[in-house]
Amino acid sequence: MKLSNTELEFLRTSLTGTPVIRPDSRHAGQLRPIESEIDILPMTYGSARVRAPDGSDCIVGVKAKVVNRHDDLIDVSVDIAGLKDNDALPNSLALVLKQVLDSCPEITNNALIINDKYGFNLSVDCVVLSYSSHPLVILSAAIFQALKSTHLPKQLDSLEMDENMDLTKTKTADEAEIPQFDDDWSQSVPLCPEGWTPPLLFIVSAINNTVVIDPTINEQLVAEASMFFTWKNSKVSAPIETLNTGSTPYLGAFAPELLLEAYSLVENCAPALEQSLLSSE
Amino acid sequence: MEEPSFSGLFTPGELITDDPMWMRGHGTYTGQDRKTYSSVAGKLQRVNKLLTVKQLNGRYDPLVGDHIVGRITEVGNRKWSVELGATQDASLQLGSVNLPGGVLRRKSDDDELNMREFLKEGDLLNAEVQMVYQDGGCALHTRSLRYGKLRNGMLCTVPPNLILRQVTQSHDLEGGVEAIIGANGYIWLRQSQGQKPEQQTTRKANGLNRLEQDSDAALIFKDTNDEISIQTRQTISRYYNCIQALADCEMMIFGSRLREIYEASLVYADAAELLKIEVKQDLCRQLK
Repeated sequence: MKLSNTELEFLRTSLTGTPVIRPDSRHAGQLRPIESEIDILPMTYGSARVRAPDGSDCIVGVKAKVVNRHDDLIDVSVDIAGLKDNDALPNSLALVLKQVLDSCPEITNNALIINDKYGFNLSVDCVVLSYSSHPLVILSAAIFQALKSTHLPKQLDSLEMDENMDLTKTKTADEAEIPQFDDDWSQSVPLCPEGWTPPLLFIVSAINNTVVIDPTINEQLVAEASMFFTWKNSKVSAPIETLNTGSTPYLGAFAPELLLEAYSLVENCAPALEQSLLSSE
Repeated sequence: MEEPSFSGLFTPGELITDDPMWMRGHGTYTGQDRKTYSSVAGKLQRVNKLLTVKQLNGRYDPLVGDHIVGRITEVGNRKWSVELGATQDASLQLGSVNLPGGVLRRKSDDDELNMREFLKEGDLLNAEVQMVYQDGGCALHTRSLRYGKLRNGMLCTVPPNLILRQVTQSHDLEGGVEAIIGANGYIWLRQSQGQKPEQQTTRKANGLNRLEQDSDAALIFKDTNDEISIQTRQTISRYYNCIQALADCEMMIFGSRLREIYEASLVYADAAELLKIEVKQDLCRQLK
């Protein structure tokens, strides 16, 4: 969307003045409130829907299947309602989110590994129904909730397996390794290890000498640059990357001191969001 | 043969009547069976034998005389395309715009070449719907000093079905803010224009003279903001949140209600509080 010169000028002067006045009166370091529900899709192993009061809406479903073990066990797909099939945004979002999840050894090296030969392939499918700011933030919150609610079937250990097996039959080496699962879903085990929370993403924009977190689309239009930060294991961590916001009139870069300020903004508000997401379960 | 019900709601695909004597209007369709079904969700209305279903929610449906706020999407051949949240972009003919130089000025070829100097892509303007076409498109005009490019503020959009059509769509509000409520759900919040008292009194005394007309027409296409104080900017943000609160609670939006909810919102010194859903609901409950 293109804004008029007067709109851009009004927004930019409001955002760069003291005090910083954001269009919706938020403070520079304040996130928009979001509400979430979990386990909304009965056919998935874990799912969540996250909504923001401005009408942003996003649904994530997680499914798993047993595959031959390899390094690449997580697939992320993103679909945004209303965008053409050849739009680059959904793919680039999926790529970023996959990169973030792949760098979580807590699940890739732990819950997804069944044995030496087999592993779970996790499909994280996201649909953005509507959005009024960059969809990455709401997507990461929805994936957070969905992963937190994901359960995988309990694996029967080999001892238990042997009791049910016909011992007179000889097994080939391949058969021996085929994992067996408990068909009682109440026995399923959570994907996320106890006390560990999935990563969250935050977007921060630099506008002249101010930094604002969770910018709206209009705020991004008057910003010099926008970056996303990953919050993992109670600290800011990689990947931290610049977001492509297209050709905006004030295009520029993040000054190093602003980067530090952005860092502290994320550190200030991430634990609160994490807590509110966890308590809404 | 049942009389259709005019009280309840119809959902898409619901049978309205199997009586072939009714004529089918907007929001209805028929199949091989000659029965009338609803194609949208809404209320049934009739004019003599014509049945129409008026949808509860949806895109803006232009009506002649509506005061709208729109955004230029395209500069074309002797006309601009204006996005106003309807099914199609509206068209604004070069001939339907007051250009600087007085009402009687003739449009020249130069004007045609310089159309971007008056209005360009992204510009917001308020205008009036002059004509509605069969296909849902419409033509606009800005032939009044009330209409023109919008400045000194920001846009707030709400669903068009929440807008109450009133005689005047421009409201001077508390705190030096003026709201222009477009019938299409686009609301422009700006610094109040009423801070030029001496000019207004002379106008009342002498009527519009030629010079004033010229300067006002130039003002219509002005592309820069005036000086706006911090307080006014904060008030505009607060009104923005108030309007969003009304929209979230599905309350109709009109001038006196904006004044009312603004008064009520002053209880919360920090306007960021208005983003919370409990606060929004609390404010809307207080309204008359």
